[in-house]
Amino acid sequence: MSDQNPTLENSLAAVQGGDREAYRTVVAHSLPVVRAFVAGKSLPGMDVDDIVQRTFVEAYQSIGQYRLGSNFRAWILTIARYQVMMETTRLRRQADYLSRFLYVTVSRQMEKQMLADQDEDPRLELLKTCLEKVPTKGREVLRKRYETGMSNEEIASRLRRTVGAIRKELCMLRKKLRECVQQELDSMDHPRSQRNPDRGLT
Amino acid sequence: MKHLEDETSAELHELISGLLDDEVTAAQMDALSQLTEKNESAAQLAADLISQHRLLGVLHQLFDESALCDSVMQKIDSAESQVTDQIVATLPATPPSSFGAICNYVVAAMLLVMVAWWFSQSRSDSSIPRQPAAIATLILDVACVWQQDASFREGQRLSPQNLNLRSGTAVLRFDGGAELVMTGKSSLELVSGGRASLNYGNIVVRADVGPDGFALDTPASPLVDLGTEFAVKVEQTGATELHVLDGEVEYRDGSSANVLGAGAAIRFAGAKADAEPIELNAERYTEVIRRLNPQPQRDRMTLYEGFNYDLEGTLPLPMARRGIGWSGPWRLRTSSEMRISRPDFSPDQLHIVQGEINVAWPVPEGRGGMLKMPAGGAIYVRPMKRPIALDQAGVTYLSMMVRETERPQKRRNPPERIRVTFRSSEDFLGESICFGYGHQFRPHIRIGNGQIFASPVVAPAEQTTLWICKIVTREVGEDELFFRVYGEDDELGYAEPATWHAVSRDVELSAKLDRVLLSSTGDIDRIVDELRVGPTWRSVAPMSEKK
Repeated sequence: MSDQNPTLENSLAAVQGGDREAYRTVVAHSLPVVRAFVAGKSLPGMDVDDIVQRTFVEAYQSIGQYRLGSNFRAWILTIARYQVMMETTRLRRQADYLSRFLYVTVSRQMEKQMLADQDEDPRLELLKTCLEKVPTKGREVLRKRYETGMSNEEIASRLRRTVGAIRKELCMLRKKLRECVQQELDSMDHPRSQRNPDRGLT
Repeated sequence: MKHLEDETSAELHELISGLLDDEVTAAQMDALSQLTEKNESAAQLAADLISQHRLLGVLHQLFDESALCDSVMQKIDSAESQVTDQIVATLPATPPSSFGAICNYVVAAMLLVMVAWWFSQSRSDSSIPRQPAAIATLILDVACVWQQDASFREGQRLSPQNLNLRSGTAVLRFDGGAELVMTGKSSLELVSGGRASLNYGNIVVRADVGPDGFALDTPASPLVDLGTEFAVKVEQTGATELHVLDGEVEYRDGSSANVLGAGAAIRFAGAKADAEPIELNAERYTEVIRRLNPQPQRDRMTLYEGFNYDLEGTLPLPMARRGIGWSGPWRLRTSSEMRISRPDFSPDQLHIVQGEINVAWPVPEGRGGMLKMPAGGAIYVRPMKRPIALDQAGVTYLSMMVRETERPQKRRNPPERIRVTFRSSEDFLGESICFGYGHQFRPHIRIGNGQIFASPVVAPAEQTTLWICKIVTREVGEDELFFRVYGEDDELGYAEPATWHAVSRDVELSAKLDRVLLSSTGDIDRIVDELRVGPTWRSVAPMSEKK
């Protein structure tokens, strides 16, 4: 997908001409896409915003290599992919990382996907849309889990429900959200939908 | 691709959901592992749900776009000013004349203006040396003699380059996970963390970890491991032998790609010759290591404190002067060595105890005296004879045994903490390197500027632990710090581990660290023993000696 935005291209030309402050416009413009890409590709234990920051610093330091008028989005996502891969290598050197967070096979799967996905990742936007379809009660559980980082036990105590019920609801919500995102990807004929191995799971 | 049954899918969703909520048991982890290993669809589902979990976090947590923009711009500013400093530092300190001085200032001003442009153009012909990233580690050096007077230290991190071995045996570990033994006259080009090129010589590769196969280029064929162990012999003429010891290796014979299985061997008579089968004739990786029989190098320790003071009870600090490599006894901090001036809470003597540590590793000296860091806290300082120079290339290892007498479950104030820190006498409160763990009992590395690199893993509780730390310093470029905590059931290998609990990133230090601080705070007693510093893993790690 091309990203030929005249304001962005003007800012990029200004940065290449030595106007450092113009880079702020470039960052502000590309931040949502880069952040969504990194968040979707990063493994547990990685600091998404740290990788995003590295990506922009690296892009600035290599800005002379960007050809004006070409696809800046694709260019910066290549840098972001490289940053995620570097972080993966670093994390792999941490003892018990895989056994704690995920298994070798899952990690391989995520790395494979990362190498295969050459363009931006639409899942963050799709997930946002799918979240709007979740009933209020479910959204409250998700909000407590993801916004405030509460454990299942804490959520159960706050909502006066059993831990088992919260556990089950979170599991169901995650399943339904994934299905919803997959349906959206299918309707877009996105490459990720082609790769989905267990489409049709109930 | 095998599809998932509804029942398996439901089980998988439950297990992954439990994993994401940090609620899985060891048995459930095993079940998840088996499910994902057996079925790629299961691995795909797990990968999707983990990604989705990350995205849900991003969607729900507050994010300040302008703060991130500011932080990127600040990083760029700081990187530019570092380059400016480096350029200015290259100018003569004392100009020969006032005209010369003016010229220098004019040149400096011009250079400063050019820095921003320099960055934006990403010039490759810069005179400021940039260190390429390390991709491998030399983990064992047995009588290595390198060509052209090159010198590599055991433990040294290696960037992409040619390694030309004249004699001896070198064992390398690539960051991608593969391990490689080079024996005798060999020339190997390190390309990346998962790729090398053998020009000539004998090597054995073990590559049973990592998502991608290790790739080895040879004059006759590129070789890609498919979860395997193999030996390669390349003659100066280009004749190449491949011996597959385990798993499979992919090779090219003319234009076709082929796979050679375990127990088979082939030979290419020259760089362009076809492959001919030959008899398998190569030593396995473990056999090579067993034959090399790496021994401990205790004589190479540069600093040692075993707290062997032949007593049980208190020892006045001025008398605490045993060990190797120290330039004075243990002491309390002076007021200038404290951030906040207040009376020191540390006892003014060492409390030496006997037999209060379970020595699970081969440390004969570890059964003697040991230091009790008492409840209520204590901080002791001791000067080193030979500093760790962070502005020079080098490798330093540290090991120490630590036992906490109990593991408090609740967070307390003051925090339960144990640390060993290196500081500089020139600027005591400036640059420092600290290894330890705090209230969450997760091993961490802490740098003087407050940067912390913490492990996701909690250190083993209520047992003796062995800490091993590694400091890789460079004249120019990133310094690297590593920290691993071994529990009583963990075995130590002949070389440093492939994985560490905490690993640093983007650290560049330049101080000369010549003070060791031992500190313990909180309400529990801790026992510390066998503090060792040396240039190699084998000089500090309590390995067993095998005859």
